[in-house]
Amino acid sequence: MQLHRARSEFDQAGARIVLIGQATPRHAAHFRRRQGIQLPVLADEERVSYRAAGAKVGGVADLVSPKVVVKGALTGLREKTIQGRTVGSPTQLGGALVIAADGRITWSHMSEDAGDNATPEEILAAVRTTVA
Amino acid sequence: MPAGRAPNPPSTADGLADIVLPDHEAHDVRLGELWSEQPAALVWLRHYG
Repeated sequence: MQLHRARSEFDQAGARIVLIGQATPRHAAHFRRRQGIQLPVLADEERVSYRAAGAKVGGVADLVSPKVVVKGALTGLREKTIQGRTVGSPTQLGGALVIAADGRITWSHMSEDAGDNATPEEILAAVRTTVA
Repeated sequence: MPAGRAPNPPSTADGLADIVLPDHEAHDVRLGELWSEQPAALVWLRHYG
């Protein structure tokens, strides 16, 4: 998890950043403790917000293709993390939206596969453009 | 190998605003409140860790 390290930059940019995960508040709390995250984490066990955000439910190719496996391994090495047990639907992909105060979605990156995630830098750049 | 349908994000957050989710302390949060006063970045995780 890299986003929590950029929290102060999001604060300075004048935006709020919130994580949303599957499963329960208890899982969300455990995740925060285990990862040392100070960001708010919401729990969407029914994945209602995932559907509303247009997040993809992946197929086999989106989850275990060679490209995805290699990218995941490289990310794990770089971040010195090992993926834990998946809680919730293993085929649910994620993504990110930047939403202006008037409700416009000014930027989006919804994952095409399990290795396709926006970087904190990309999200922060989108936030700064929105605030400007 | 089959792939899922392409992601399809909306152009406005209208469909998200009234969704209420519990946070890590089990307090309900209406998503629309997150961007009511300032922009917000919402990040959906594939899994917790």
